[in-house]
Amino acid sequence: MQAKSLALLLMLMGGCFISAAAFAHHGAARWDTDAWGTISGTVREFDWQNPHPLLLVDVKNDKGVVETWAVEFHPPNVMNRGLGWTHNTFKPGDQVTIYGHPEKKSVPLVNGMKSLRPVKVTMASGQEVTVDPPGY
Amino acid sequence: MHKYVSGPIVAAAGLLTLSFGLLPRLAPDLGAARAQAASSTPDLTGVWSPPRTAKGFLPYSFSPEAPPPMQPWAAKRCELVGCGTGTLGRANDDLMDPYITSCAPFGIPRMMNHVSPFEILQTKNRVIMLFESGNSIRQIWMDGRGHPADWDPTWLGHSIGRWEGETLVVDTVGMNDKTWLDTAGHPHSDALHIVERIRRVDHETLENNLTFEDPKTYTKPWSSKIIYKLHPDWALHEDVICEDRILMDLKAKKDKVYPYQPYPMTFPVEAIPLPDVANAK
Repeated sequence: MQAKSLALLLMLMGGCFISAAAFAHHGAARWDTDAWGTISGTVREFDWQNPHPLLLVDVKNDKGVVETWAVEFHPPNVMNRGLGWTHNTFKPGDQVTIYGHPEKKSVPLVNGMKSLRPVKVTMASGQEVTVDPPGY
Repeated sequence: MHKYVSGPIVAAAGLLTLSFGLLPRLAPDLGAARAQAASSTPDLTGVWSPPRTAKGFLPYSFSPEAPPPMQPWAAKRCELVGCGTGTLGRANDDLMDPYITSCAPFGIPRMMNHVSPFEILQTKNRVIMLFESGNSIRQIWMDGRGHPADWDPTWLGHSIGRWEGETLVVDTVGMNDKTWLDTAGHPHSDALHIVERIRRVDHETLENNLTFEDPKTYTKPWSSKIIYKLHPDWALHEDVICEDRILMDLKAKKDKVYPYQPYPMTFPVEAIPLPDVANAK
């Protein structure tokens, strides 16, 4: 249990630091904006936090192995004002589909956690949401 | 609720028009409106932010068209950070931004051109700017005082202001040298002196003309203009810098594990150029 917690923690640490900084302000460096990808899976955790809300999604890969993906959004104040999002927008267990840009192949994975720069999310309700609020 | 300069006059006229049956109840308000109209202090209050363009994230640079007149160390540093482009996106930006690497406040003047909103409040002796980013407070003293002689440098510096007609003129010194001038990454030193001329060009629009003087960093003073749009329906949110790291730390403590984890970013190999004190005028 302890080891499992530690492993998750390290994954979270890496995910928060690296991908937060990468998505954060300037974006383009980390993501392959010419490519598109989709992931579907189960929400493990949603951290409504500055500078970027972090969604961890458990996704089954081609071999049937579950991998945790880290997906970050614009800052909470932007998502709240633009789309009405709150800390309750995702709950553990929600089934979601996320469509967006994958990381460049040259970018090393952080502690084994893959990431996607989200463009559209299909929520648990089935509603499809463009995650760049108007004006973004 | 007053609108800007002409607001009190309009309000007073409106009250006069309506005054026949209501005068006894509204008399104190009418007096206050008259007093405000007489003093004609411009009203800059409201929640403001630079407008986003179709591409978003602008403006980021105080000097988007051409590089400002930089001292050699500053030019070298700008080359490293990529601040001349104004578009960012270079790998080094995030790895050298004190806001990202170290949870540093944006500071002044970077807060004045960031997309985060700020609110202006006015009291008798101060104009107060509340910045959403980091929930920072900037106090602009309007009581005629000067800058203190023994000011310890701070992130937001020391600001004094005065009204020139409709324009709020703000003079700021006393910033430390730990922040970026703007999100593009232009540097500054602790010798930075900023004069801002802020006025309401219409009800929805605030204009800020800034002049930067910093002989340790720039060979001559230079200027920038930025506009802000009013958000009448917005209230400032709580905004904690590096909240992700705080939550991670709390999670670690709850799990009773507190591993030392070196910061996992790889910083540029080059040393970050610092001000050349010998060349300072």
